[in-house]
Amino acid sequence: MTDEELQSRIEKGQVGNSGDDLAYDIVFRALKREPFQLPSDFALKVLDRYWVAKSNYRYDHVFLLIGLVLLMISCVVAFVLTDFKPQIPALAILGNRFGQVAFGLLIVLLLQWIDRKFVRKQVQGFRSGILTPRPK
Amino acid sequence: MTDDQALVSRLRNGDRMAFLELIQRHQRLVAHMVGRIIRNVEDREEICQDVFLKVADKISEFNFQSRLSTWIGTIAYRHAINHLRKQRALYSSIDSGESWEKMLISQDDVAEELENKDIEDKVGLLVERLPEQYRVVLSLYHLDGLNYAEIGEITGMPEGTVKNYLFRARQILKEKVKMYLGKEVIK
Repeated sequence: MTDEELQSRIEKGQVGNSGDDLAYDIVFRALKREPFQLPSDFALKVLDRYWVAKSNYRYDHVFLLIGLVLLMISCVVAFVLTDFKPQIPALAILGNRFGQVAFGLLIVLLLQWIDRKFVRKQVQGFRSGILTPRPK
Repeated sequence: MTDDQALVSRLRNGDRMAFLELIQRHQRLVAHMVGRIIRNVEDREEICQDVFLKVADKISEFNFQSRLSTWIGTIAYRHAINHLRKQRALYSSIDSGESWEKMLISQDDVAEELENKDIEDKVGLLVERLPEQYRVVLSLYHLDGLNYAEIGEITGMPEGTVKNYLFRARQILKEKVKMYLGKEVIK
């Protein structure tokens, strides 16, 4: 009898007297054992983490919004108090080269996208392939 | 509406108890998966928690094309594998040939190391020495009762490969147990 047939027979609970039968029976019983069990309060722990993360996320957004509004208000106040008029020569030069600036920005964004989409994944795969130790 | 659909719909509406129910229903599957892939005991529970947080985060993307348990199993499998890759520890590729099989079968020290353990515990420790793909397939089949197609869906392996891994892993373990039982008889 082949090992394949033997395995399917043992799976059906038909255990013979041979050494192979006995060994397979032990293996099949052992494979039914739980490798690790979670604590009884596991679900509650996850729920706590979930709600903490959710409320933190909400607070983060509220603080970000408050910060942006305050920044804009202080900017306007500063402009009014100092009678500031934006006359920066560099910006004036850039104003005449709108097409080039837009092209530059597009190139940077495209490179970032290629890096995220293709390069990083490949580098990660390469590293995990090279640096992972083989069993001793 | 199926049970899974009702649960997912409640969860999408922000029902706290639905999330609790989902965790309780699927925590065994996630624990089996993580327990088989991650060897570091301290990391296991946290990784299981991360899996469920990811499930809650992605539940809006679940489109009922598969069973909810299969979808959660897939998330758990990928998360654990990614963790393993990041750790770069104790990770061995299945593509590394048959060397690990020979090593596992011929290693005499394994039996000595496991001297005072119950025979089924010993098999459990031998399972830990198999590559993670083998361990996962064994666990999903024997502990979670999934079929070849479902295991293939979770792990991304073809059904034939799943069947082959299952057969080979059990055969290797049987050989090891036979060797061990032989030694016991000689004693």
